[in-house]
Amino acid sequence: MTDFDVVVIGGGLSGLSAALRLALFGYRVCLVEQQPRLGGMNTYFERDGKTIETALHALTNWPGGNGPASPWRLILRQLRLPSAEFPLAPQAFSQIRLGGTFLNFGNDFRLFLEEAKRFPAGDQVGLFVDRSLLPYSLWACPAGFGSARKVLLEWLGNSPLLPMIYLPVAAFGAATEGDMPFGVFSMLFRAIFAEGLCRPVGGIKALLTLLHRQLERYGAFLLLRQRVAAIRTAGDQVLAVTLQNGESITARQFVSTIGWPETWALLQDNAGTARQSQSPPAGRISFLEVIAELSCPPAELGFRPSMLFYCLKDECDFRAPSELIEPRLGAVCAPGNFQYPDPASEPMAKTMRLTCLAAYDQWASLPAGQYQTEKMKAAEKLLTTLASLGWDIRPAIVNIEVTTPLTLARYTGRSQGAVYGSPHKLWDGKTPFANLFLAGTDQGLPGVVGALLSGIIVVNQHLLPKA
Amino acid sequence: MTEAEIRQLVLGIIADIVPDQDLSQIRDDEPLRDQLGLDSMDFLDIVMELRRRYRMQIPEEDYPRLATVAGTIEYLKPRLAQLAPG
Ligand SMILES: Cc1cc2nc3c(=O)[nH]c(=O)nc-3n(C[C@H](O)[C@H](O)[C@H](O)COP(=O)(O)OP(=O)(O)OC[C@H]3O[C@@H](n4cnc5c(N)ncnc54)[C@H](O)[C@@H]3O)c2cc1C
Repeated sequence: MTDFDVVVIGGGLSGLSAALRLALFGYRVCLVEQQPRLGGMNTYFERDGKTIETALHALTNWPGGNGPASPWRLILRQLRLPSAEFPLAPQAFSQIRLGGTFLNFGNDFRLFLEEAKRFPAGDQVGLFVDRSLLPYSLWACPAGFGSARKVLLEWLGNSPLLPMIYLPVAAFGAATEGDMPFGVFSMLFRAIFAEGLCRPVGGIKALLTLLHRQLERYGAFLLLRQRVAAIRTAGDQVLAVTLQNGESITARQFVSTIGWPETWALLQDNAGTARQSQSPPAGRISFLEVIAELSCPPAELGFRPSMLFYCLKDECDFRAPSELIEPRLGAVCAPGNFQYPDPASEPMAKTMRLTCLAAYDQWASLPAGQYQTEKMKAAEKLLTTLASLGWDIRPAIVNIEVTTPLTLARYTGRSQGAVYGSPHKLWDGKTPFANLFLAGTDQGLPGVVGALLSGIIVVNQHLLPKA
Repeated sequence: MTEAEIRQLVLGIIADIVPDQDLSQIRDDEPLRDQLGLDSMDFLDIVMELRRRYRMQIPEEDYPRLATVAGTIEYLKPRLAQLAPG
C-alpha cells in the first residue's frame, strides 16, 4: 500500500492540470491513468512513422485577439508554462453551412457581426452579446442558468441565425440533447466567436509533451497503464483507491476526472460492497470521426476553411440519432488551413477530420462481424455528404481512420462514449464525499480549454488551503 | 536575512509564477497588479509558494499587504527572522 497527499484519477487534460497544480506546491500527488499515454480523449498515436491525433479539431479562446484576458494566459501562468513554449496558430476563417446558406467567421469578431447582418434579426446579435450573454468569469464554475434555446429564441426568433450560432457551440460542448445550459453556452459562445479558434503548433502532442515534462519536473508520480477498479469509502470519506492489480493507494484527498457516472460506478464501502443508490445518467451525445489522410494539403483540393460546421437537416436539432450516424449534421476540420509559421512541418497538415453525431446504442447492438463494414460505410456517407457541399476529397485520400462511440467508450471509459459526459453536472466540483472532488467534463467545463481550467479551478477552490 | 536578500527571494517567487514577465524594471513601491497584471489567482500562488518554501501561514486578510514588492519585504522580514533565529 502506498500513501500520497492526493490521488488524481484519470490523465486527460483536466487530470493533468489538477495534478500539476498540486505538484507545483509540493503536494505528493499520484496520477493514475489506465492508458499507456496521457491525454485522454485528446491524445495521439503513431502509425507507420506518422503521428495521428485523436479528437482535437481546434482549440478555442485564441489569445491573440483584443478580447478580454484569454483563459490561455491564465492556464499557462497557473501551470507555470512560458507562453513562448506553447505557440498557437490562428484559424484563417471558418464557415457555418445551413442548408443552402452560409456564414463565415474568423478570429476578428467584427466579421461575425457583419456576416450576421445578412440574416433576419442579424442586427440583434451585437445587442444579444452586450445585454444577455453572461459576463466572463475565468474562475467561477459556469453553473446552469436556464435554457440557452429560450434566450436565443427571444433574441433571434425563427431566424436561421439561431441554428447557425447554436451548431458550433453545441459541437464544442453540449452534453445535453436539444438544448444546453445558458451558462455553458455563454462561455463557449465567447470562446468560439468572440475570441476564436486556433491549433497548437506541433499539434496536441506538443501540449501533452509540455505538460508531461512539467509534471516530472515538479515530482508528480505518474502511474500509467493502471486502472482504478474501486474507490473505497467509509461514511462521507474516501479512504483509498484500489487498482486493477489489487494494490491500494491511500491519500488524504482525491480528484476524479473520469466522469460522474463513471466515478459513481467505482464507489464501494470498505467491505467491498457497491453502493446501492441510483447512478447519475450517462450522456447520449457522441461522435463518429473520420480522419482522412490526403496526398496533398486540403487547400489544393479547394477546401479553404479551417473548420466547417454544417447542418443539412430540416430541423437542426443536436441529438443522438436513431441510426448509427447522422451524416447531415457535423463538423469538418482542415488542420492544414490554420496559419502556422511553418505549415510543411505540421504533423496533421495533410489530413482532414470529419465528425458527425453518432448513436452509442446503435453501434453497441451491431452483430459481431458487421462493425468494420459499418465503420467504412459511415465514412463513405460522411465523405459523400462533404462532396455534396462542393468538396469531393475522395480521390486524394491515401488512408482512413474511423473512430466510433464504441472506440471512445473503450479508450476513455466514458459510459456510452459520451463526448461531453453526463447531462448531470457537479458545477462546484463537490461530491457527497468530503474529500473527493470532480474535475473535467462532468464538473461542467467542456473541451480542451474547459478541461485544463477545470483541473485548476477545482484544485484552487477545494484542495489548496485557504490559510 | 537582509532586505536585499528578501527582495531576491520575492522576485524569485514572482519569476517562477509569471515566467513571461521581465522583472528587471520592476518598481518596488508600485502595485504588482498594475505592473505585471497579477490577479487574485496569482497572489494565491505567491502565498502558496511562501507556504511551501518556508512553511509560512499567511491569513487571507493579510493578502493586501503583499500588493507591492516593498510591502511584501516589510511583511516578510519579521516572519522570516522568526523562522531562522540568529
Ligand atoms: C471526436 C472528438 C472531437 C473533439 N474535438 C474537440 C476540439 O476540437 N476542441 C476541444 O476543445 N475539445 C474537443 N473535444 C472534447 C475534448 O476532447 C474533451 O472535452 C476533453 O478532452 C475532456 O477532458 P477530460 O480530462 O475531462 O476527460 P478525458 O479526456 O476523458 O480524460 C479522462 C481520463 O481518465 C482515464 N480513465 C478513465 N477511467 C479510468 C480509471 N478507472 N482508471 C484510470 N484512468 C481512467 C481515461 O483513460 C482518460 O485518459 C473532442 C472530443 C471528441 C471525442
